[in-house]
Amino acid sequence: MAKKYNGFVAGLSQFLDQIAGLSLVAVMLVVVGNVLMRALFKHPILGTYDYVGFLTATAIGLALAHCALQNAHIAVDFVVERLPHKTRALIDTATNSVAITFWGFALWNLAIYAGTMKTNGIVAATSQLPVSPFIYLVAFGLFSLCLVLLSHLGESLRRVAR
Amino acid sequence: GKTSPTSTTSKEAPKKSQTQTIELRLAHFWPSTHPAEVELVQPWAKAIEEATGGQVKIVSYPNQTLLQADSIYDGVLNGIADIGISCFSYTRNGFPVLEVFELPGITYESSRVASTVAWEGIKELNPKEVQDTKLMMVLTTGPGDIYSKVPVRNLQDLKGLEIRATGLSAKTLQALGATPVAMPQSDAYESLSKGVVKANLGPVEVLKGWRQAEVTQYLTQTPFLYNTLFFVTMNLDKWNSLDPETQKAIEKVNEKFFKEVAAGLWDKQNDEALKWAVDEKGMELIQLPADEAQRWIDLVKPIQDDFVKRMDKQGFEGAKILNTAKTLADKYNKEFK
Amino acid sequence: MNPFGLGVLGIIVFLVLLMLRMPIAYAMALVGFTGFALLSSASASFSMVAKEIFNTFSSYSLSVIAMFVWMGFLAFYSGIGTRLYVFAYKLMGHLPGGLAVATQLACGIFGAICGSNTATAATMGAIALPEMKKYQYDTSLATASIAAGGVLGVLIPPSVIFIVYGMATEQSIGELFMAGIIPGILLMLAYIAAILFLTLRNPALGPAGPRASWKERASSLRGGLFEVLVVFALSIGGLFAGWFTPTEAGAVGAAGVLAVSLLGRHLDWTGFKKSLYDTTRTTAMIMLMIAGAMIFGRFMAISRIPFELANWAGSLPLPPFAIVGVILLIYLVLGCFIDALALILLTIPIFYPVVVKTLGYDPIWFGVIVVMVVAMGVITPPVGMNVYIIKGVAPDVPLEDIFRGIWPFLLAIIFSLIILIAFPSIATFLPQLLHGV
Ligand code: NA
Ligand code: NA
Repeated sequence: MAKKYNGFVAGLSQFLDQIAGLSLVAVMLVVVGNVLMRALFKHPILGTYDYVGFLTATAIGLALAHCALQNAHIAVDFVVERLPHKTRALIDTATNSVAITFWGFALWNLAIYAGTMKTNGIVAATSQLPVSPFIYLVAFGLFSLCLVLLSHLGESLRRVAR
Repeated sequence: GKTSPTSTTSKEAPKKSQTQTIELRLAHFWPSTHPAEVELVQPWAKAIEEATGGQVKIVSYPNQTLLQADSIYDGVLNGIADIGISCFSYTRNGFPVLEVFELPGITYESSRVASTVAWEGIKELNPKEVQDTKLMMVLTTGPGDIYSKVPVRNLQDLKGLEIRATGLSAKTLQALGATPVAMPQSDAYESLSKGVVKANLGPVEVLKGWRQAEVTQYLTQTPFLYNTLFFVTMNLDKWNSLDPETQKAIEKVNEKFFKEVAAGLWDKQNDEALKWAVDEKGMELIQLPADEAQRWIDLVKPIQDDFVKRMDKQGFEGAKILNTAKTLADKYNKEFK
Repeated sequence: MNPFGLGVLGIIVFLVLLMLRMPIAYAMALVGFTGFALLSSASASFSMVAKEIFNTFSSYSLSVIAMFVWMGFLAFYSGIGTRLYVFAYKLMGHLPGGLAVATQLACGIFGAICGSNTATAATMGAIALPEMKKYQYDTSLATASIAAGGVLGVLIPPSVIFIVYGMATEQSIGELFMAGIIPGILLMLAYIAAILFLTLRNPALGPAGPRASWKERASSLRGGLFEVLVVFALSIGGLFAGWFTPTEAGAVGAAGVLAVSLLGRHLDWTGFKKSLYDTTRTTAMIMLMIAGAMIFGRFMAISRIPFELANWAGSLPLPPFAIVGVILLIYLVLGCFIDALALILLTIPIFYPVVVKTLGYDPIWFGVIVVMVVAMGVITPPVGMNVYIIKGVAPDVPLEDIFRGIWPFLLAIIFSLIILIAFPSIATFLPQLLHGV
């Protein structure tokens, strides 16, 4: 059961990470395209400023889970490493639970934020692109981060039980 | 927290305080040395404190320390700040009716005119979009000019010229045949200096405040092309929590400060910046002949038509709204001459 | 509890969470949220958190970090980084610590196209760390020198921090850029002196190799390296010619290195994918940490700790230079907990009037001083953004190893600061020359 869940989470975060990578490629293409269009044809891509912001938000949001899966969110571990096995597992259980709760609330509030932006019809200044879908994307990124943290929590609970 | 002041004080030794002090956080984006902070926010806060007998105390958080510029209105709505000052246009589409006060093609001779038109217009139109907070006053930059690295004397000079602009201004410049380039104001100095863009459109204050006179040489006056509307607004729950007498006292201070300070705040800065740019930085001042200016105004007319159409579609009376702004502009251009 | 006390308590709780191995970004966001909620309301605080996260992730100015990081990983996976270091090794490898010295020079030159200290550290880390490891350089020295070298990215123009300072104080960004050049070079030389001091005392830290002939040196320029140098020259040239802005330079640089790698067949599909994987991972880590720092910074703002410290410092009955000294100390302490950008935003509105208006110091000079002091902040524990970024690109190096290597570079910064305070014209000379004053 746990194995199946972990496999699903790994697959999902890898998939999201691939979309994140594509978004970064798109950022590069848009910026370079804008530079070339402006320099060569005096015809810049006017919405570049907005597109780059949205694409970067997509990339970062969707990469959060994969980043956590690889334990790449930096932490200070030299204190905990010196503690006994059991204490360490207990601490990890506690911090993981707190983190899941916090990011859970945060993503919920991002979704609320997106909702108000959608109701009010808020769009980006120059491109007129609606803002809310990208906030939803970031909220979803945090949701997938929580899924990863849940699998970390399961693992630390198993260590407590051992 | 702040919501239960009585419970916190009751734990402490009983105080003789007959008045409960309310501390309000004010968020804005200008530097702490900017006239908006020094000449408006600080004296205004002090006047309110005095008018309410020390009951309402305003603590200013300048320079985006509390909220990022484009989050200020929303932040006041959600109670992150109690009072906020920023641009309406940072929340695009959030204030459809108020866009009328920034439309190109309406001439404002000064910031005082533009501010008064907007404040009276808002009172007259009373749009729903500003009812979710307590709007205390509005102010404007007033007219904007084109400052450039090459002289702009007519539409021909403007053709294909790369000008930094975002949002509505980008549309305006496109209508005039220029090439708008969207970038944040913080990138503008470097971009002008290296020639990534050849001009900028905005209030003259920017020449001094953002030092852009150092990287441009010409200034074309275009009092019909640009305006930015700022709000000073308060969280509605916080406002309603004040007793009516306090509210009345504050509103009195607001009206006084709008008339005496806020409405013309940018005029003073614009005048100083213009003098500095011309006298000390040697910028050349270009005034468009009346017939040339009329050609520009004709070209941006479709943007006004488009506004009316969009308003009608959303169920507002577009023509009436536009007319209100135009009539008030005529009136105050004459009155404040 | 009063806001100030709550702020101090918040810092303590934050430190405890760090010790409990909670990721730094999470801990900053969590403590920042809780403190803000206690000082205003839970709903206001949640709304603040949501805004800061989205604003940071979707920031146009910060997108440059992702692009430069990608450029670094492209250089690594195409082997261009390796060849760059073969060349550097042939050129300077016979000196003890020669590669670390070459890396500092590279940081300085890279600083001329990159305006962000974060991006400079990440990019140079991605390129230089694997190579210095190959040549048996001490990991502490290698990692710490790049974490410190990242600061050259903001001292040498273009510079994000100078832009923020210029906006907050209405000073000329052009003058600030000019003012940063000589102090930037000074700091680079101080870093190099620190490296030489360390490696001469203990040659094992950066073992010297055989001296190469000029012919060998020239021949090591092959394999795409020459093209990369051309890309680099074009990037600097393009910035000066006004083809693109510093914010756009990251994407242009990444595109340039990608083009060279593809045309020279140095990069296959797997390498391309890996470069993207590493970039998304590193950038997600950095941006979440910046978002956390922003949230924590909002809490610090309403705790009014920075404001009260500033008022206290400004009213001390001391001579001006001593007050400036106290202010720098406050910066050093705050810099331990608050990230560079947030620190500038928070403190400039309050310290600037004291130093410039009241004490009468030169505003441009103070800008350079502030950047230098903030530079210390990004490498000092516990919140040393650059150190964490290096940890992000070199996950197998323990954090304490990097922090352990920091102190010689910290001394180098302090030394440069003292020189700058003693001889302010080092900073003000170039801008004055520009204006013919
Ligand atoms: Na730089
Ligand atoms: Na630090």
